[in-house]
Amino acid sequence: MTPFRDLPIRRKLLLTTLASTGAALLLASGGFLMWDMYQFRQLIQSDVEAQAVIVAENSGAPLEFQDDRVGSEILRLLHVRPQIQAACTYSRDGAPFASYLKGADACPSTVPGRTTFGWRALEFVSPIHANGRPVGTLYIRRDLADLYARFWVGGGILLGLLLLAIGAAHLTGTRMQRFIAEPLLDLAETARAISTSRNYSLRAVPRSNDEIGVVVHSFNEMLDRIAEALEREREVNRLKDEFLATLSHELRTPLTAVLGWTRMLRTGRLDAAMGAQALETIERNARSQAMLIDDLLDMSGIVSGKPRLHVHEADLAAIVDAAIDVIRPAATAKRLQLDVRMERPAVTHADSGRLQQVVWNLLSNAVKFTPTGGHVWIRLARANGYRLAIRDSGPGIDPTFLPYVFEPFRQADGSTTREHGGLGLGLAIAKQLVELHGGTVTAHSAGRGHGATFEVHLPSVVAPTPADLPLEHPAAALPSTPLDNTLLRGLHVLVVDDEADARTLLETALREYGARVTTASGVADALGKLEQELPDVVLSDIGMPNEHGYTLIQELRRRPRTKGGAIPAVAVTAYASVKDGLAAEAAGFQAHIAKPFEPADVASLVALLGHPTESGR
Amino acid sequence: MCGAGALAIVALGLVVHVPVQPPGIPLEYRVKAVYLFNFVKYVEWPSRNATGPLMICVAEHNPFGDALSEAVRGELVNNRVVETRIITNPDQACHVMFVPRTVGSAPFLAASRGAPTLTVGETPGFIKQGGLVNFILEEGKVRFVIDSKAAEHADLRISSHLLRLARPPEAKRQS
Repeated sequence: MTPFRDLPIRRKLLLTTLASTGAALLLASGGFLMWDMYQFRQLIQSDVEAQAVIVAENSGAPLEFQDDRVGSEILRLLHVRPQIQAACTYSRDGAPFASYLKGADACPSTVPGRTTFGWRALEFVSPIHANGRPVGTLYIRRDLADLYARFWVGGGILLGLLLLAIGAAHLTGTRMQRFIAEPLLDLAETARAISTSRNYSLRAVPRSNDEIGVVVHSFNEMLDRIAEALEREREVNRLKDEFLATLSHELRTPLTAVLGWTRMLRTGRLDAAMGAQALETIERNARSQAMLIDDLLDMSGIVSGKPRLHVHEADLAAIVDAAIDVIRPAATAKRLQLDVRMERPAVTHADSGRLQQVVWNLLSNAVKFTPTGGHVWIRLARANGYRLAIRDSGPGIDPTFLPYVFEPFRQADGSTTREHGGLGLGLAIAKQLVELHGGTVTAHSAGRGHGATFEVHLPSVVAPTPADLPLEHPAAALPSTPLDNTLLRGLHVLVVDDEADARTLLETALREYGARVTTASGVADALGKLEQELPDVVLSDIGMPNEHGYTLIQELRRRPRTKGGAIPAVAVTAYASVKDGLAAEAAGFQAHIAKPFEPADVASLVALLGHPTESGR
Repeated sequence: MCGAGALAIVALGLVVHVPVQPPGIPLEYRVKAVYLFNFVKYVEWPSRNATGPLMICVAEHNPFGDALSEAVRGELVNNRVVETRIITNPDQACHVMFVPRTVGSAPFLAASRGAPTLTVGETPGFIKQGGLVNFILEEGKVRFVIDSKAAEHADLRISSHLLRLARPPEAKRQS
């Protein structure tokens, strides 16, 4: 049998109603029956008493005159009470005198002591007086069958009423419980439907304003939230898919050019002019791909944690100038008119490299989206800090897309046939960088065909963030120099990399600058080479099978100075984030260079580390 | 059933029973003595006679021996002492007057006619002669007949309890 607490609510409510109704009625009717029994018992006793008084009164004389016939006649008067089974009189000396028997066999042979109200009968005993003197005793036995009959009839009627009442309670309870059970059942049904069909657009229907109504409302609200969250998740997944498609496309496009032109070069059938064009195309596409990867890494840095700013005093006008210089060729090619008005100088504290990235991004967007012969306006002015506005006469931004313009992986046109390339990360990165500077960037557009305006607002002074490090990015700080094949003359460099191609590339590049190069294919190999001869500089990859570059540098730094413990070392790694750089430096490298690298940068850095006095720092 | 036959049987019974009784007064008269006293308790006399002892008289010959005086000794009825007396002449002071069957009842009945005296006899026809109560024997037991109308004329109020015990008058019984 199901325990009560596991019964359906309908049943519980009904049972509760019936149990309380039943208990109340049972108590009431039981009490009434008992009271009625008591009353009836009193009535019986007083009736027998009255009969006894009359009979005793009349039995005095017959007793005195010993007239048992009349005595019996008098007792026979009691036949009007059919419940009286026996009436007997006894003379003063206790001898039986007269009797009236109906249903009883005989009178008690001796005078009964006193009145007793038994279970089966009332036995009434009363003295008989004549002229004030006791002359005998009267005994009356009254059957109580009618009392029990009354009990059973009354009990039966009450039971019937009880059943009727419970039936009525069942009826009304069934009707009334709907108000409680049905909203709950509704709710439960909806919940079940949702959990089986996973259709979160289903809603429970609120029927009342009581607590259940509140629960239903809350339930629906939760469903709203869940539906929203699911919708968001779906949107994010869609964007990711779109982004991956875009990424694949963007990465493959330059690769196609690189591989195609490389294959054509290897045929050796290209003439000098064609060969130069091929090399230029290859380089341009490789750079374009490197930039895409930079963007990606920037974004992942921003997503996984804040990138570091290297804040110093900077002139915003100069930063914008530098960015304009970069995009000017493209603008000129599209015959765009650049209208520049800037207050100068506009000095603030900022990471000039990062800000230039921002401005360049906004400008290149303006140039990219403005059709040939259009306008780009650039304004820099003081406005509670500085306000840089870049406006174009391009197609503008659709109002529905405007709110999402700064979200990562969003592009107004995500289709594969879209007109404009890119990963859709530029504006997201720009926004993050501006916000890192404590500023804001906003986009406005009067709609399609009315151009777009991007406004950057920067505070005049940016407080250095605690994450700031005094150490500058060495590669970024190095001046680029023309190829000088004597730059590394006399330096012995140990190159450690598990990939032969990367190893050979580094070896070749360094030799071109005049260095003597030893190579090792792993940490163990490198340690062996170090035993044979101590180089002037060590260049090591980080991610290698079995043992990585950190193991090598830690092993090296444990050694005494004479055993190579102080040899300057550079990490050359494809793990290109700022965090990776910091990890490398913390492990004991003097500097780190991200792959892909510029051979000239590597040479300069090696020269700097190998000839500290000659580098002129 | 005729009265004479019944009496014969009763007499036979008495004859049979008498020797069994202790010597002296027969049972019949010891019962009648008690009954005479009991009559006093169920009868009300007119108020002018409401004081003094209640008098039970026996005409001329006393068949009770000491039984009657024993029955009334020390008894009070309505706070009145009960006394017994043997009379030779009718006496107006008697409340109850018993005329034994051995005594001629006519002179006594004549003397007390109209007076508030409960006349009790034991001969058949005693009522016809003007007596109020007459002892009879019924199945060997002493019973009595009462002429309630005559008692009313005599200004006596007889309790209904006593009247109920009375047997119907001889005239009707014999008819």
